[in-house]
Amino acid sequence: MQLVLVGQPYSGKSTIFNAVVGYKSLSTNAPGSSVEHAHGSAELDGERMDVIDLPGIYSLQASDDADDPAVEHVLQAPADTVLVNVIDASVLARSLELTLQLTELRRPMVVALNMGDEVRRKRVTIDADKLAIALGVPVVETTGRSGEGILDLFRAAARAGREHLVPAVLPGPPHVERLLAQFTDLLGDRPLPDGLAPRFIAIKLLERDACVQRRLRPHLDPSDQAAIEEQLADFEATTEQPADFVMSAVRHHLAFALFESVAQMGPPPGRDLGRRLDHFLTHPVSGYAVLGVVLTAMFSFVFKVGSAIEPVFLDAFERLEPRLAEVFPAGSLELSLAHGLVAGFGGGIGIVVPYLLPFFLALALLEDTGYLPRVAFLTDNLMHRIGLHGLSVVPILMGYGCSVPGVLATRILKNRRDRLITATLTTLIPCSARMTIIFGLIGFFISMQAAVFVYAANLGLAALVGWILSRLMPEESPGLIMELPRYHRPRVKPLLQKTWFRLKEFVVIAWPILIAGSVVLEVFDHYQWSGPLNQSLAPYTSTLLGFPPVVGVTLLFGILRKELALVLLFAAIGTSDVPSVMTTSQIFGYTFFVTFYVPCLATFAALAKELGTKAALSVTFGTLTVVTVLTVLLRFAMQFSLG
Amino acid sequence: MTVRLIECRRGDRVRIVRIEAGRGAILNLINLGLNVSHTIELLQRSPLRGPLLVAHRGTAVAIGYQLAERILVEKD
Repeated sequence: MQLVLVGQPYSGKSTIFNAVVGYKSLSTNAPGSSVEHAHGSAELDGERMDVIDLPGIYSLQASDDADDPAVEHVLQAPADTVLVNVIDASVLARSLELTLQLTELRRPMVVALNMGDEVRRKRVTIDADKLAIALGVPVVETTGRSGEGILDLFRAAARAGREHLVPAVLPGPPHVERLLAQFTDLLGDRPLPDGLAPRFIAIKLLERDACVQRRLRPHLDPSDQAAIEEQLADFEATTEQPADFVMSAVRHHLAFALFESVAQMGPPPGRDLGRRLDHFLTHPVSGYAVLGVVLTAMFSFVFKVGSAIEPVFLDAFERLEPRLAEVFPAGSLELSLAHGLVAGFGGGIGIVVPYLLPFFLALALLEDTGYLPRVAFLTDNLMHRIGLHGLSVVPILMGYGCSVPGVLATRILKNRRDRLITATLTTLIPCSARMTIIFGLIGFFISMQAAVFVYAANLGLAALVGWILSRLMPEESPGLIMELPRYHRPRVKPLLQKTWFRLKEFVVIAWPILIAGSVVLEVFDHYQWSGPLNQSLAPYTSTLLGFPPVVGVTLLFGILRKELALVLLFAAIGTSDVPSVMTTSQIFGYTFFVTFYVPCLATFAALAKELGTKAALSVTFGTLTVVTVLTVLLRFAMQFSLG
Repeated sequence: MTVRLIECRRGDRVRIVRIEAGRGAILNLINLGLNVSHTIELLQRSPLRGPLLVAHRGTAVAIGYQLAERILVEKD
């Protein structure tokens, strides 16, 4: 038996899922947090059940022609599926609109009336039994955060599956029912795609749902299509409204009537703390002030923790080095390989523990409290300047920790254009490795002010690229429409679990590449291939960009891992006193170039995963071209100004 | 009096009379419970053509400025 958790965003599906199968899904208080469905399994009373958590959906009605993966999953679910409709009971009327659409699927189903605590706060009483009778399926009251009712919910789901408890259908007004009957007659007993219920298909035909129409095409002949169009045209002539809007209105009224018959409102609660908080946190003055304080606090927390912990790890791995020399003979390939492994492993830990861990912890805190959507609200106007909207701020913020999870987080954006632009910008954001280079080279050898300048220029470049890209790809999305969830008091366990979940993405994608990169580098060094390589790169690195030819190899390995470029630079020029070999303008140019020239290999892998190899290649070569031109310009500008 | 949502002030309670937007945007609004004839409260406006925050039956929804321009409302 397979249980599919389906519900609107913020209804608490992921919390229920995690309570049952352990932590596999990101349950957050930010939009689109469960971006891919999570699978798990649980054993209940000796029976094994597969449990799937889908991203939240407001409706089964597609708002554009693209398939919504969560909706697709519901439609294509195998025959033994039980739908577990999780409802935020505190917004029952609205939630029931999705429930009514799910009932049309005629599949075994149970309803979880979730967020019991919030309902009590709002002084609403809901008669769950009455709702169960109206819907014809079990309704179980749950409070996901405390685990209350979850066992009952899954028992009810198992029963619904065994006894094939299919929900009742609430009929709409006569004129709508007449049209639906005409459509079901027309469908007759033709085989329908995915075993969908005829009435459901009839509704989708009425709504002119592009995704269902596409699937239905092989089953209908052109005369059927014409008949459907004709009947729809007649219908719309009487209603004077597009048929899908009529259907939405019908559903809205049915849901509201159902809500009124099962819910009783008590006296309204005296003051709404969340509302007051929102007034303050989204306010044009106090909102931005708080945002500034929060971001400053977050970044200083990360850097304080990072710079305090990093030496501990670096020391540990440095102490390992002499041990290796004892085990393996000097100058052997084995020693080089072991060196590479240790350096790659250590490098990964050196990024993860000191910087990513505190960063993701802080970010998870912003998410779980519900503050992150407010950040999106406040930054929407700024993001609009570069052709995006507020939601893009989430991946970009993550990019400050590491581009890999940042790029993966672009999944929360609905259309591909927004994802593409945001992912490109995310790869330009100064991640923790880039910070190391900027502050390690310019900050250390030139001045701290110069480093801050480059850091700021980095943001400027990202904004410029966003502005250019958004003009190349004019906006097609309708702009921001985003629900702001209620504030929650964060809890420690989910916070830690979520942080670990995000770190895992880095560990799985980026770490192996770091280790492999370090090993390849050592092998390279062992056979002394650097000389010929530098020479072959010299026309580009030296003649065009104006760097000393020896840096060629550092640029190549910087692709594997950005900070490698810094470490290798010391080795390549044979000293850690960079200014003795490179001029100020060379250090500037080199830092600028290394920071941007291409996304690191792990980021490339993430880009390819999210947007496809072609897009990842375009981003890489596009960046390389732009940065080459800018570096050359910078070179001549610096020569001119410094004489 | 029919005005555009962007012309309203913070704290105004207004009734949506028309949404002059594309099908996708309208459906997205409907999904969040914002449809013609519904009464909403304008909770917040933001500077520089930033989004507006409206509330309807306990749900707070942020609406981008360009979309809010196309929502016609009637003041009570």
